[in-house]
Amino acid sequence: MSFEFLTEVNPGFAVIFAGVLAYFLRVPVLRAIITIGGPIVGLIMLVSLSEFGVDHGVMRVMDLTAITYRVDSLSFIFALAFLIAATINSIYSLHNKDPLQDACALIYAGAAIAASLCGDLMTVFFFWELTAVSSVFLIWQTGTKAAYKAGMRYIAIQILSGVLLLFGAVYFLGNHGDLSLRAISLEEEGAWLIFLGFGIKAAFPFLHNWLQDAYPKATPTGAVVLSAFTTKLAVYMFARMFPGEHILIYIGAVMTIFPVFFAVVENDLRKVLAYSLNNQVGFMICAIGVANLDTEYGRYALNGAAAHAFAHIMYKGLLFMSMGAVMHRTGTTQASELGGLWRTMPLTALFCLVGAASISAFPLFSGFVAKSMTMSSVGHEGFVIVWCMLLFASAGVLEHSGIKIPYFAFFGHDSGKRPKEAPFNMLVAMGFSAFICIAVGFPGLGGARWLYSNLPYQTEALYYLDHYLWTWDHVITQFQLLVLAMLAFVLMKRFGLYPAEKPGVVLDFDWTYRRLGFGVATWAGDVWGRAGPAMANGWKQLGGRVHTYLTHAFSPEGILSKGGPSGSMAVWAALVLGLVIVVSIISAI
Amino acid sequence: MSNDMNQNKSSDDATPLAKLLFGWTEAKATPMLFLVGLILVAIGLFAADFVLAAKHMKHAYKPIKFSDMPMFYGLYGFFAFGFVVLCGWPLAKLLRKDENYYGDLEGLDADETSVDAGKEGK
Repeated sequence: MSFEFLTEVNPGFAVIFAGVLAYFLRVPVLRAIITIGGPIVGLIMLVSLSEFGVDHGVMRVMDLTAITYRVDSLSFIFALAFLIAATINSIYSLHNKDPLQDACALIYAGAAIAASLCGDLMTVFFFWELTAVSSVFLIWQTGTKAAYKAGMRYIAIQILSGVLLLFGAVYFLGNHGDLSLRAISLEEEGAWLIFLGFGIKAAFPFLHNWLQDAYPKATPTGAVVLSAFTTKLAVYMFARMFPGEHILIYIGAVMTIFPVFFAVVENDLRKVLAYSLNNQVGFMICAIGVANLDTEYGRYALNGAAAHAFAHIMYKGLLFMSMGAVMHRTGTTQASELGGLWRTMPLTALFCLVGAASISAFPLFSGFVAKSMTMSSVGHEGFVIVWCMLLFASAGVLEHSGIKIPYFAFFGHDSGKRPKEAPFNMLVAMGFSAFICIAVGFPGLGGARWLYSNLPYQTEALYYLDHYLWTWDHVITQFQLLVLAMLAFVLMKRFGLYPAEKPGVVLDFDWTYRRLGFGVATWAGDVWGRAGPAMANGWKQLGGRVHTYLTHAFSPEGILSKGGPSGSMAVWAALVLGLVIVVSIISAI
Repeated sequence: MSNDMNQNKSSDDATPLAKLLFGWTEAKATPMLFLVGLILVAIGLFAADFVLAAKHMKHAYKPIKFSDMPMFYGLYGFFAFGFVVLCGWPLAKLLRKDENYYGDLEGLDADETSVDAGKEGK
């Protein structure tokens, strides 16, 4: 029996199928085989594809052409990262006894993979919505009231994103006659709707709160799964449809900066990671904005976005995994309740440090290899202020993800907690992720060359790798930035200038709808409740007067029945009819 | 309370692997050594920067003239980090509210304060 046909099937389908199967399999061993096997089969299907740019699984649905599988160098690297992440996440979740979580995690991952590998907007829309619907259960499964409410807010905004995408696609179809995925301009009909739909999922400023609201309330494994797919799928869609769109440069730059300030005062370390995620996606969005594909540095920028997405999926997953392990063992990720966990969770602490070094872009770790092309492109293209913002954000990343996360969880003051080390499966998953972070970042291990040779513009990527990445100047300046920032941390701790971690909620833009909007709605309800009866009385009085007037005019005892000349009646009738005709004509115009 | 976690204030109960990997962080001299080490590394990096500048091995972005100034990245990192952290003081006063500010945490629903809630769903 030949399985060759599988190379022409979207690997996301295999992962979704594994997810559905996982729900019905109640034998833990079988479920474990399926949850790990599904993404591995997907990986094999992806790398077995012999030719890029060919449409597979083309279907006609209601006069629309659905292209369910199309791979090129851009979609390949994103799908590859998603499939590796899905495999690692499945290992991380092996201790779970909850088939629903296993199923939803795989369906969600599969939907993201499928969306990144299809060739038209309508198919993207379908999987876009599937990611939303399947992922919300990873939040609800926590089982608390806070998680339920956050899940409701999450699903509402995710569905809104899909509706905007759908409206934009319909507009686009009406004007262009096809929905195939390609680069478009914001001046085209419907493009803004599509852009906003993607922007919600990418957590643009003021549209970002679903991320910090929902991810920290997901289950420990749920947060790990969530961190990998939604925002990076949006990044892929921007890279696919809006490369070189200048507004993205400024949106991305703002995204890198503002989360840094919230992260410094946030006490929940998983929420700090959610802000950090926002900040990292900002780098990618900024790079896509610079990615004018007609220029050399534009192509570097798109490579930078793709490389950053790959590396980020790995190290952010690793950081979420380490915090998930802490949550699993201690029941909290509040910095004020943690500290000193290295004593009994040394491997988790070590893996967390690898993730922290990677996200901070220390040379020899993956972040350095991935972020470099973005910084170079922005600098060479002359976006001076944006470049300064990104550099500022790089120091900020070190603060919240490089230092704050490991320091307050595993070191710092001793909380007295002595939990067990993370379960074996969690350690294995973290070990895999840490290995990728080091293999990609450490020269001589071949990971950087492997990653760069799989980027969308391979020739430019390899040229950059050989001529710019490992120059003395680049390495020393990056070390300078990070070492001096660390020195600032040590000095500030020593002189008591570092703010203490305290429990509490840090207000963000979601205050406008969770508090202000809710308050306005409550106030309007109160006003209606009080004014309603009075207004009803007014309406009743007005209705009574109109009734009296009409009775006075038209009843058998009324004025119009008191023997007036029939001629005047005809005039009145003609006037009313004339009025109706005039109104009709005006309406028709 | 889960059996996974035991409250113990003693600092001598680190596992052998933990002592091997991170036991040095407990030493009294560690903070000072860490500070001195960082200062020495920073001085070394600044010196290396001047050497690179003298040998014309520094790579500048043409539109960003100041990017090849010696010590630029280090000083930028130091002050950027300091600025972010110092902003934390007024921001905390302005933005930090009671844990149940939004009314989500009520009674048993006060998740993240219960070990059981840390497990995979309820």
